[in-house]
Amino acid sequence: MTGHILTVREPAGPPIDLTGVLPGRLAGDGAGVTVICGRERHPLDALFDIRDGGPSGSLILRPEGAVLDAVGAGMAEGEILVEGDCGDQAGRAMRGGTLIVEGRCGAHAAAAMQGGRLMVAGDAGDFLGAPLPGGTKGMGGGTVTVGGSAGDRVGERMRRGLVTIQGNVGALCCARMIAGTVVVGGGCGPEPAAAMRRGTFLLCRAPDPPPTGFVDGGENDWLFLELLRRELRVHGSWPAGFPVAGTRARRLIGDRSAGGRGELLILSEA
Amino acid sequence: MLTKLSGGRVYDPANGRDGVVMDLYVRDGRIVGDPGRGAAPDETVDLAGKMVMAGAIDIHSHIAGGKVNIARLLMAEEHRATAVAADGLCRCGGGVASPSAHVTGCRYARMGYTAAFEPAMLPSNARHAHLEMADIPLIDTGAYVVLGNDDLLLEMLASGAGEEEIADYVGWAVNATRSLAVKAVNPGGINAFKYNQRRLEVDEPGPFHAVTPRRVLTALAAAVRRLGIPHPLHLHGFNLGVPGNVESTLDSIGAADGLRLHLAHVQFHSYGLEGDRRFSSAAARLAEVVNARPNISVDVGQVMFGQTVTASADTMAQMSNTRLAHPKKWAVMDIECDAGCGVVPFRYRDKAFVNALQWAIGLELFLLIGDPWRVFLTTDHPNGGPFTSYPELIRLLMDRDYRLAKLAELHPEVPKHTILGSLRREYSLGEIATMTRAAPARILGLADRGHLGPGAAADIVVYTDDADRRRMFETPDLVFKDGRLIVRRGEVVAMAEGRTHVVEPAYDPAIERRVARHFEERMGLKAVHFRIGEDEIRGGNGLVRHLCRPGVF
Repeated sequence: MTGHILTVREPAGPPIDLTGVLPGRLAGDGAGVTVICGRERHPLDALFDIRDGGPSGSLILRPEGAVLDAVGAGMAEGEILVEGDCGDQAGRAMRGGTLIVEGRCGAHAAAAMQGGRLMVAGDAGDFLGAPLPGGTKGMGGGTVTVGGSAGDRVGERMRRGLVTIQGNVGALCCARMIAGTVVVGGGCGPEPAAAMRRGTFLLCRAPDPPPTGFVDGGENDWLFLELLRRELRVHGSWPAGFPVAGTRARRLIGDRSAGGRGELLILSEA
Repeated sequence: MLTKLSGGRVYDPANGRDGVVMDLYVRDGRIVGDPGRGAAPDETVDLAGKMVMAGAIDIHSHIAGGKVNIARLLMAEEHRATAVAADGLCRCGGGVASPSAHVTGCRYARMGYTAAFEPAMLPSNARHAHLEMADIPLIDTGAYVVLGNDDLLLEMLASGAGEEEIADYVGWAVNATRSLAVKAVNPGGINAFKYNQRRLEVDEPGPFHAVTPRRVLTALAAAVRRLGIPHPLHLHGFNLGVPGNVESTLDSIGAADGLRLHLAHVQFHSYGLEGDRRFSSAAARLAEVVNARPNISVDVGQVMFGQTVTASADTMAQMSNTRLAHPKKWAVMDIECDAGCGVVPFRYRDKAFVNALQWAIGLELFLLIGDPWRVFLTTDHPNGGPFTSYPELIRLLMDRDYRLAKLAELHPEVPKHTILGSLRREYSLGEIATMTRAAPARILGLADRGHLGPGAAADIVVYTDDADRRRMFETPDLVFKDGRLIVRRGEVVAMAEGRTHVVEPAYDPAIERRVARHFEERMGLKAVHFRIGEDEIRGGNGLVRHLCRPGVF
């Protein structure tokens, strides 16, 4: 038994919401499966050329330039490979399995994610690992790796899990974070970790200006960093800007203005 | 074109018909009398064995305006979980407790409703509310302007303005905002909230203007009468949801001093302090007073179990409700010089004592108030539950066995705290037709709605008799809007535009100078721009004016 390869028939059409299109869910030619495209619901095979291919339990999507939203939403097992860019909400509320995006992805990727792995080769949009619009719970588990940069509010209200970003992040990264770990290889925008309660935000460059509401806990060696490095080597995603060795980092504790005890770790030069 | 609706059993309380088998004739969107043997109908619809009523009218449902939009934003999870795709006729949308505008119209029409009225339109939100109501298809709409906490009125009262001057200001406000009626929400209380006060008794002077809520209430009720607005002052009373608040409710009735007064969502205002839990039903006390005073009408605001969102201008009540928010998020804010806004998501649980007793109190009120012309079927959508729960509510009123079965499923303490189990009354179809059709039309002054006599708009609903009244009222066979078939077996088959109902009471334009000065000094725009033009309502093509009769209503 093989997986499926879905190729968009009409790339210039409106965004296609792929909620419910998951590995192992497509029987045969995908007959009976419908998705919302723009404002209307259509049969999946009217929008995609569906063929057998790829390993069993996998799904290969070829957007051909079309906007595919909610790729892997609610996914629990299997693997999805997107040979191009994703739209918004990639890996939304994912519980398991692996979603690999060879291009970029839009806003709300890994929103409310609970488990599994999301790997994005390019950039990610705003609200990576944050709650869905109107929601109160950010990412609650799983691993996200981004090869490029990410937008504003990465890891907002995050509760558990690991997010690594090779490049830069925008404003309010880790704002209102409750737990979990975010690692950023590049620079970060204004107001990092605003109103953070707990959790770890690991940076290799000190934020400028320094975040208000944090107290300096001094520079120390952190064994945790070596363990994290080992873990990330497994995923092959240790941010490029980070030193390859060394466990020394300055620890800022806060955000005290919100009664928080989270940590902002700024790596020292190895 | 003449259409004959042949042989249906007609329930039309306004014209004294209670299950009379007869033919109805429709010409050009209006019901006409029997045209005689000579006139051959162009179309005949056989309704033998079917039940026929006028289109239902919801007198109190929050369907448009600022707070409804905030509720939609807060209930984003619900909108995602209940997304509706476009189907060729109805547009896409979603939501249950706070449905999107288009979905609101489609759902109402599917249930046989042809009109719903937004009961709390703040003047500063009026333009937005009208734009949104124009986006609600298939049903007629209208709104009640909220006064009683606005700085100008309170200033006028504080400076001793006379009854005539107050009436002129109210008349200006109703005209400027294109409203159908006047509503007061916790009069004086929302203004007091802005000065950090969390409670205001009926006879307690407000913190800034030193005007008592009783004074505001009587002034507005008198102004409504003086202007001859058909609908009496629509009052969201004091201390909403607070145990023991029945005293304030009875005080309000006393303050009306014989003037007509409509008490909104009285279920939330009928609480006593008896029993171990210091929370009890005062429905019997209130019902006794309402039964004895023909100047008082009420809508119930029944609680229905499940997730909903509460949205109200009453910041005082909503601020105290924020600790009960579910999911845990809320928004409470002041709105310009008008009033306020509080939106708190809430889940009513049948196993929670307070919620279950609220459910029982609402049903007690329905069953204890004897006159169906003065009690209206509402859930205060979405505050007590979404309007889509009306068919379930109708079944609870019409089927005692079903009601008792539901009562037995509630929190075990509740049956001991309510007399609901001993109430034998079951509503008849005629009474349901009264409280959902004839009575709302009459109390709102809609002369050509809510009945099936000659001259009435041909808003007609056809049902198949079914012992399960919920099923019957959930999916009507046919719904006609202005003579046009829009729903067949619960599905929309044609799109139609509703109308916006307004009144235009006469007032002395001299008041506009004072209003203009107030706007110049305090507001973000000029009074002349604040006023909504006729061409702004449904593109200038949808206004229905109703008659004001000073001194009569």
